[in-house]
Amino acid sequence: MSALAHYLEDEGLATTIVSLVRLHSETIKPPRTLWVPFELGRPIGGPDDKTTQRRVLESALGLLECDAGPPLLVDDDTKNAGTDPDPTWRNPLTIQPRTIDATDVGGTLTHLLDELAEVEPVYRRRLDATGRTTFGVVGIDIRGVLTYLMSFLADAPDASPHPDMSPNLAMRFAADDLKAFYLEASTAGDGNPSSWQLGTWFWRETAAAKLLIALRAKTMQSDSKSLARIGTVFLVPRIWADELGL
Amino acid sequence: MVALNTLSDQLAKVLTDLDCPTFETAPWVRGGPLSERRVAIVSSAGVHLRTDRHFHGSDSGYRAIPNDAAPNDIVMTHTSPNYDRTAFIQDLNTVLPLDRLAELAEDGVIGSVASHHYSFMGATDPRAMEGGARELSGRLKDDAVDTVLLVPV
Repeated sequence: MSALAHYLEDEGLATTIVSLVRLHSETIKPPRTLWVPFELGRPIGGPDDKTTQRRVLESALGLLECDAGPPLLVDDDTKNAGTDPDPTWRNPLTIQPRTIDATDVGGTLTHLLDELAEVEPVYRRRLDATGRTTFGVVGIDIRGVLTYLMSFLADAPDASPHPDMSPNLAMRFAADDLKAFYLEASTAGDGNPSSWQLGTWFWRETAAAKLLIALRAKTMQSDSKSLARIGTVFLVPRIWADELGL
Repeated sequence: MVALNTLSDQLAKVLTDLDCPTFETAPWVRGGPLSERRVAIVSSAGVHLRTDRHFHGSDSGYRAIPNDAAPNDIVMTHTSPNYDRTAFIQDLNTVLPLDRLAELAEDGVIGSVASHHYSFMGATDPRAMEGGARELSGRLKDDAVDTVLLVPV
């Protein structure tokens, strides 16, 4: 990102950058930098925190009125970093605990569809309220996503459901769609849960996460280098793979 | 530094060991008052219209996002799974602050907002983005943009 600032400024456009990794900005030295202490993934501040978001934009854009550079301004409001849990948050979803036996493909799919019946109404309620979903990258509905992922667990991958994605890539994005569907549902209630609170619920309590963990173990052993890499890197975030001892 | 203790050791090491480019020149563009500037956002979050091409691998290209795109039309296909996406799924402004930028224009803090914003995918070697960035500068100038707010993820 800091290098992009250099290229665009070199083409005659004034730039200012919000930086999440101070070390990178100090090395590359873009013309104007606002460093923020937020968690990776939320460079402008937390969800619906309009005050912080506006302050970040005004601070970053304000650097354009400096006469010389490269200025690096530090926003040290760590209380908005996004990592503190919200003790008042209650997950609007109550789902039954389910054990997945990855060798029982039919039984696993039944468990997943049972869980989906608990999650989907809350997802729909949130979608109706907000008008926005990030689900749908692969272009198939949530049952299609589950069925497609299960076909990899069964060693009989279905054809790619997306015309511009290979089967393996579609599997990776289907996993992202599954996570998005569940996490959106889990944010349908009140409160401001941290990413760790939401992740703890998803990765420790849902059958959907157990599917992704089983799929990771399965694909990591694949003879296909592409599939093995997707399994190793993309299905379970590194920090959760470590946390769960995978 | 970002809260590295919230990251896996592996990701923290990737960030601290990243081979960052350095430059012999330090371009510096002077501009008019902020209240007269036309501002575009350039993101590296791998966000794009639902109907546009997904990002993949070491894709060094960019995607255009109309300023009037509905939040529901914007998805994320960044390669890395190792950063928080729960903020993005709750509020597009945490990554692509279109509402906040519009408010700054309404309040006269900035002059106007570009007709389009753009996203790269930040897992790519930044040196590979140079061609795309220089091409993008032409599109921005065609839109009378003089100022770019760069936002990582």
